[in-house]
Amino acid sequence: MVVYRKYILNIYSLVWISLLLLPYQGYSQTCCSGGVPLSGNIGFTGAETGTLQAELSYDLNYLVTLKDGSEVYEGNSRRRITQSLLLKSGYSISRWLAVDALFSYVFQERRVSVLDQTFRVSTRGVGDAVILPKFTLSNITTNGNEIQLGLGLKVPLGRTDLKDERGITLNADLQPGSGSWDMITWTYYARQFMSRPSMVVSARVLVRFNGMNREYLGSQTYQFGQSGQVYLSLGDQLVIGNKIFAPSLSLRFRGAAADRINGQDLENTGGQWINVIPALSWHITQNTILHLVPEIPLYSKVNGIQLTPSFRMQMGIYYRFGQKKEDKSKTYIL
Amino acid sequence: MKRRSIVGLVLLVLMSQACEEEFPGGVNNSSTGGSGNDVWSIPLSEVFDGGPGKDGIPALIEPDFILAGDVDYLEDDDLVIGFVQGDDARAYPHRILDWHEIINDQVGEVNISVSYCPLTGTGIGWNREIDGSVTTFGVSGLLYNSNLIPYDRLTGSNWSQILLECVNGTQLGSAIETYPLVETTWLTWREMYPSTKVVSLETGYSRDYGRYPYGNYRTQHDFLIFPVSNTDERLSNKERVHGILFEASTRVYPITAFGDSLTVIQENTSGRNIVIAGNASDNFAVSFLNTPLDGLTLSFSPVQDQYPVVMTDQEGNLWDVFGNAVSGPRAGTRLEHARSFTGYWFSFAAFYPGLSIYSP
Repeated sequence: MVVYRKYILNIYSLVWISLLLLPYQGYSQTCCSGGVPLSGNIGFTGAETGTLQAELSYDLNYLVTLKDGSEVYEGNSRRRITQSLLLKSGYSISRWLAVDALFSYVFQERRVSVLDQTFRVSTRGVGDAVILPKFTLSNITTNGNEIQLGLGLKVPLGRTDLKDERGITLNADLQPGSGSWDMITWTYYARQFMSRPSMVVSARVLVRFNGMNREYLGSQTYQFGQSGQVYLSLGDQLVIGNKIFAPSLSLRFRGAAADRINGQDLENTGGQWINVIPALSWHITQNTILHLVPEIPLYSKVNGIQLTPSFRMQMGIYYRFGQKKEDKSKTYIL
Repeated sequence: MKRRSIVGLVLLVLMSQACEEEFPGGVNNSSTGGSGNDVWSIPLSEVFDGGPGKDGIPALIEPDFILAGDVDYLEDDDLVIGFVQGDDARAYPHRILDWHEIINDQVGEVNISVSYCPLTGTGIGWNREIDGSVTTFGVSGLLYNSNLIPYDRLTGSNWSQILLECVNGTQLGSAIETYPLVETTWLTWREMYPSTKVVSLETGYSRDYGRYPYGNYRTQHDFLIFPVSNTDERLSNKERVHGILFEASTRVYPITAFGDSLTVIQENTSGRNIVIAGNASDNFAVSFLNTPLDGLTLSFSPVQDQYPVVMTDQEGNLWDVFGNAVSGPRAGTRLEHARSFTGYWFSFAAFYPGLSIYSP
């Protein structure tokens, strides 16, 4: 029984680690998929009442692959780079109810190299934020299954009217904010393997219903394409020496409809992507975890011609406040 | 426990505030290739970044051409922009210009830059010699009234395609010298100039030239991607019109007004005698100043089924689509081109409020 309880605690940790290792974008922007990774990053798992979880991470999205549908065009001279600082926090109001919040700071850059010249434009600023209340319907410590539902709101804190140094308003693609209030639904399921309780298989579904920016370029309306994401993951914990590592492997499916300007579909936006995410976390202490999450494109089919992610990577540090002392000796023992 | 959690939450909020103060929203440009001149002759608040960035849409420089007989990628009703210099006739198809917007070419001794804005449907030929030096034009990635702003690589100055002048940079205020072009269907152009050359699909860029990259933009009249400073509902936004720019006014001629046979319109507008020839079925119109020759004002009438000849006059001269007298007593004479081009109605309305519309 003691051993089983130890496993349960490990599983409990692994579930939120698996979520920690599954950050990713849910935010398509016009002309490319260089948006700020908001909705994919939201959502800690449940924790004990009164626990505050926090994570600071850096996200790099490097887009150099030019695609028309599923065909790759060679000789592309364009680059889009989005770097984001993400501050995620979650507070467990009770065992069944928690609220997560995500804040972002965004650096975006566009480079075009032609005839031995490189033209570069970059922007930076506070991005949009997400607030996500979540309900735990089934807890993995109780029956080996974790089920969570969440309904969140994306708050348009980011600016959408940044200009270049000449005073020319930049395209939506380079703005740190979207200018719209969006709704996000969040569904999470995890199940532990009874034969190896430290191993968890999980699925996560996010659907984003995007609102409309009614002040785009002053007088236009702009609506980013509705999007959905599905993550399928397998994670485990390993002890190497006296260190605890948690590797995971995930597949991410993402689909986004075309953006709309003044109610009309905007060509060359939206598409479907499938990526593989091999991730690794390292437990520095019981409450502190470092994580590294690369993301590698497996397949994509974009609408029209677009720059699409060539590589993506996130690294960060997680800390959990308010963990009960008596649990320390029991957590992370395999 | 609760106190520690609340303190942590407060810290998070403070950190987000600190980030905002430490990194205020801003923009950085480098190697913009611009002239460093901040003065614009057009309202900067109405100039927008199109998205792909400077040279993000790659202009072509002296591309390869193929003969008309070898062209298998054009449909008969596809639009092309035609230019003739001596015996050298060249076609620049919309299918290629939709993706590149500018083709810098050399035809004989002429250094021409054919620019085409897919959003305003305007195709114009520019002399690419500036201050005696030959240069190329590139796509700045900027739009004014939804219209292409090319930049020249000699001075980095920005030019308005429709205004036909430099709007920013060291060439500010300079007018561009234009070359006459004929924009018509591939079938018609081929009929006019059977030995024409056509831009090859081997452009050096991988693009699906069989696909129009702007979806239903051409046919959705209420679909404009960027704001314009003036709208006019007298015609549908995307209706193709031939516009003539006079010093004091602008007048447009809807292509549909020419009917399904070659039609010649003669008018006196803004004190100038103008002759316009066009054919709605063949989707083109061309215009010339009808300046008295040797004290005689010519009176034109259409010539059917003899492309490239489109007009004759009371002296029996035959005039081709570029305004050249190809036979008759004035053979070798050339009519002066009106300052004109063809494009979507909304673009003329945006640039030239108060313009007049020809009605048969």
